[in-house]
Parts: sequence; structure tokens; C-alpha cells
Amino acid sequence: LEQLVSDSLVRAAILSLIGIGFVTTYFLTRFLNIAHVEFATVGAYATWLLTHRFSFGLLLSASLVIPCVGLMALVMGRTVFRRLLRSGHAMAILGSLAISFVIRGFIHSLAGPRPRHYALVPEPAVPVMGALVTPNQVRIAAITAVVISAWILILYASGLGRRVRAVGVNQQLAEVSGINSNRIVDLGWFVSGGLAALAGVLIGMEVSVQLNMGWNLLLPAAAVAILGGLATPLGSVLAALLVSGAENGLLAVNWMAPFDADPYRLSLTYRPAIGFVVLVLALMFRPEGLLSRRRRVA
Amino acid sequence: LLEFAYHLGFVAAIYAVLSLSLNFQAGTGGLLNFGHVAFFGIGAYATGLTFLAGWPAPIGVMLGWVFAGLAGLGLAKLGRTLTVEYWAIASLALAETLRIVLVTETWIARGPHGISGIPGFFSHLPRDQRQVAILLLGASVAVICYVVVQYLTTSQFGRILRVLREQPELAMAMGHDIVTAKAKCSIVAGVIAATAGSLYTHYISYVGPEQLFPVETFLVWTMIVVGGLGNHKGAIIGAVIVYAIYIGTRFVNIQLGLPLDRVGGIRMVFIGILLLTVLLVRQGGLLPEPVGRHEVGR
Repeated sequence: LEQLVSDSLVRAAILSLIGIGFVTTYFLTRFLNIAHVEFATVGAYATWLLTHRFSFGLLLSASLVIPCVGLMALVMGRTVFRRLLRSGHAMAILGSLAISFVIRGFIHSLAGPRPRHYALVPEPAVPVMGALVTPNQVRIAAITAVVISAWILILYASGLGRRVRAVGVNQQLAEVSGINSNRIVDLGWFVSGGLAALAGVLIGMEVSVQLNMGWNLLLPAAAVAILGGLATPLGSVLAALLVSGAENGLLAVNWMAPFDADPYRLSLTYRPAIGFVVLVLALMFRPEGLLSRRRRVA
Repeated sequence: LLEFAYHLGFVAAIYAVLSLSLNFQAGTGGLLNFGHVAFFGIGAYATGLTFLAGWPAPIGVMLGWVFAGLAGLGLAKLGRTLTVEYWAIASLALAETLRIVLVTETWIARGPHGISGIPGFFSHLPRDQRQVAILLLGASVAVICYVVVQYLTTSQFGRILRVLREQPELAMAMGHDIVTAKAKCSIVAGVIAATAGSLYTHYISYVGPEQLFPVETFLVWTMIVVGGLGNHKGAIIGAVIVYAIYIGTRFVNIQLGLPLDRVGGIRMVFIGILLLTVLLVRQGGLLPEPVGRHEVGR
């Protein structure tokens, strides 16, 4: 069980990074950006490129790449997405799907379909409170915790954060009270792109850098964002814990245990499907989010 | 070379049928279905499993209709409370879940190996006549689907769907049942797409889970957007154009001297940029949806 908890925590860290980015752009622009998860793929591949071609350290590469992906998200938000949004949400979603495929296709044609790995020295796992944990997993959890806490702190304890929240709640009202909402939306794109890129690098450290690493996160991350209520980072973190717990829990359970039959476990390939099921259940029963007190208005 | 042309013609006809069904659902009905390939897959697998069971082929086609209709109904019922973007994500999730189940549960349909050896059409005819006959079959199915879809769109039912899409509140105020109308629309789309799935399976004598990748849905979306969302002639033209580009990218790949494993990437870039350009520059596509004088009054 301890192993289950620690694995879920690592997965939750990554899901919440992606989920928060999803939520931030949804909160500020009111549309679900399907291409969001591709920022993770871009971040992971760009970091791989810097470490391998230019033999930069992983830390240096990542800290160069993350703001760049943030900038890329900002530029895309300003140009493509703003234009798409003018012609309605359906078109914007479709456009983001197109962008997602363009980004993936672009990386595919440059880097080829094979997965890549960062040149990390494998470190032995150490037992922590009954679970085997690799130092990388500890780093992932720690980095995520620090970054998310920092973003929550900015959002709730600074003037800037108050402006972000104001724009998210009511853009017109925020503008009337003298907030430059375009700036705030830009900031939102930058932060969500950067967080996704960070998540991409972390996945690259933990598993590998693959073409589908972003796409595979789409549905679990959408589940996280929607369950989390599409407004608060804290909601996303809770939802990420729930989704990753459900994933690892359902995969670990022996479903035949009560029946005295051969053990039956769900195949590992069902991991993404569990995210989908949680998502569909979330959409059916709590589309307004876990923490929301108010019913969603259609 | 002529054989290749027949092949392209038949596949283009299949894509035209798929485009027509998605166009009816998404263009006319305004339902943003991102999991359209699932309907195709249901038809394809119904045919494959019927073959495994040793039943005659028409039963496979009909089973495909029944199950795709049920899937359409279920999807529409799920969408009863959801806004456009949530429903888009939910439909994508369901299609992906279907694919994962088919890959994992090898007892259903041999998992990743798929079902092969399914009999083709007109096997008693000599080879050259057979190919002409197959092409004619594909083309006539496409024409029949066009007539059906066009009839439904210009009928009272089609008008209700368009009011639902543009002004749901107005439609409700006029006493139309939104859920029923959307469900009917999804069922029709599902049945038509399943027909395409059955035909294609017989044609290539094989069905496998790799036919159910979300890329296919994306391709069909590009076809209907390029042709003109809501215009069924446009859907057919879009299908032909986009399929031609899809095939053409193979030559681009050769021209650029890239290894063969990059074709998929180049394709996605081309198709994605095409979709994005149409969305940004010419929203109506090549043939915009016809707006009758008596139909849309502001």
C-alpha cells in the first residue's frame, strides 16, 4: 500500500502541473485548450535537444526551455487562439486540436518516432516508509510542490494574483476597474505553458521522452481540470490526487479476491482508460467540480 | 497504376461517407464529436466479429448499425447536460476507451493482431471487373448517403437541428425536445459511419485497433471543415481534396529525403496547417452552408 501511495503521489504531481495549466487558461479565456498537453511534449523534446546536441546540463536546459515554452504559449495565445476565440468556442477547440496535431507532427518529422532518454545516471531506489522510491521521484514531488505552492501564493497573496482572479471571474468588470486584462491573459498563457513544459521534463526524467507523452495526458488531465472545478489550483491538486489514486488503486486491486478464483488484475494498458472513466463520471455527476458549492449554469 | 487509382477512389468514397455522417452530426446538428472514429470502428468490428462467428456478411452490417446507433444514443444522452466543449472531450474519451478495450481484451477480437482473412466483395468476378465493381459500390454508397443526409437536412428535422444548434433556447421555447433531436441526429450519424466501417473492413479483409486512432477523426474533421461545415456537397469535395493531400504527402516525404518513419509526422503537419488556415481565414470552407431565405430569420 505504501508503494501505491508513493507512486500515486508522483503521478499526481505531474497531473496537477498539467491540470493547473489547463485550468489557468480555461479560467482566463473560457475554452479547453486541447493543445495544452503538447506544451509538455515540446518542453521535453527541447530539453532533450539541448542536453544532447549542445551538451548542456539537464537543469540548465530545463530552466532555459521552460520560459521559452511559456513564451511560445503566450505568442500562440495572442495570435492564433485569440483569433479563433472570436469565432466561437467550437471553432477554438477544433483549432486547438489542429495545433496539437501540428505540434506533434512537427516533432515527429524532426525527431522521428523513437522514444528518447535523458542521459541520467540511474540511481538505486531507497526505501522510504515502506515504499521503494527513486531519488528522481523525490525530486519530481519536491519540485512540483514548490512550484505549485509558489503559484498559489502568487494567486492568493499578491496584487498580481488578485488581478488574475479578477479577470477570471469577470473580465469586463476587471477592465473597468483599470486592469489590463490582455496582460493578465498573457501571463496566464505564459504560466500554463511553462508549467506544462516542466511537467514534460519531469516525465522525461521519470520515464522517457515520447511523441505521445502529451496526448496520453490529455484525458487524465482534462479529468483533473474538470473535477477540480476549472477555477482553482487547489481543486486541481485534489483532483489530481484522486485521479492518480484511482488509476493506481484500480490497477493494483485483485478483482477476484472475494470469489476464491484465480487472481484477476486489470491490464496496465487500462491506465488512460481509468482517467477517461473518471472524466465521464465527473462530467455526469459533478460537472461543476469537486469543491464547488454552486450548481453550474448551462 | 490504374489499380492504385481504383484503390484511392474507393478509399476516398469511404472517407466521403464518413465526412457526410460527421457533417450531419457536427455541421448540421452542431454536436462537436471528437470520437467519430468509434462509430466507424463499431461497424468495422461488427463485420469482423460476424466473420469470426461464421455468420453471413449482411448480418455484420446490420449489427454495426444497431451498435453504432446505440452508441450514438448513449453519447447523446451523456451530452444532455454538457456544454459543447465537455461533450467534445467526453466523445474523445469514449472512442479512446473503446480502442483500449479492443487492444487489451484479446478474447474479443484478437487484440492488437486484429481479424484478418475477411472475404472481400465480388470474388467471383475477374480481377479487372472486380475493381471497377468495388469502386462503383463505394461511389454508390457515398451517393446514397449524400441523398439521405441531404434529405434529412432539408426536411423539418434538419431545420429543427439547425435551430437547436444556433438558438437552443428558441428551439426549446418552440416546444422541441432537444435531447431527442440530438439523439436522433447522433444515431443517424452513427449508422452511416458504421456502414463505412463495414465496407472498408470487407475491402481490406482486415480489422484492427490501429484503425481507431484519434488521427482518423481529426482527418475527417479537416475534410468537413475544408469542404464547409454544414454543407454536404462540401463534405464530399473536402473528403476528396484532403485525401488527395494525405496521399500526396508521401511524395513530399520522398522529395525531402526523409526516412519513411517520418511520413506520419509530415502528414499531420500538412493536414493540421490546412485545417488551421481554413479556420482562421475562411471559416465557411470551400462551400459554406447554404442559408435559405425562409429558414434563418433574425
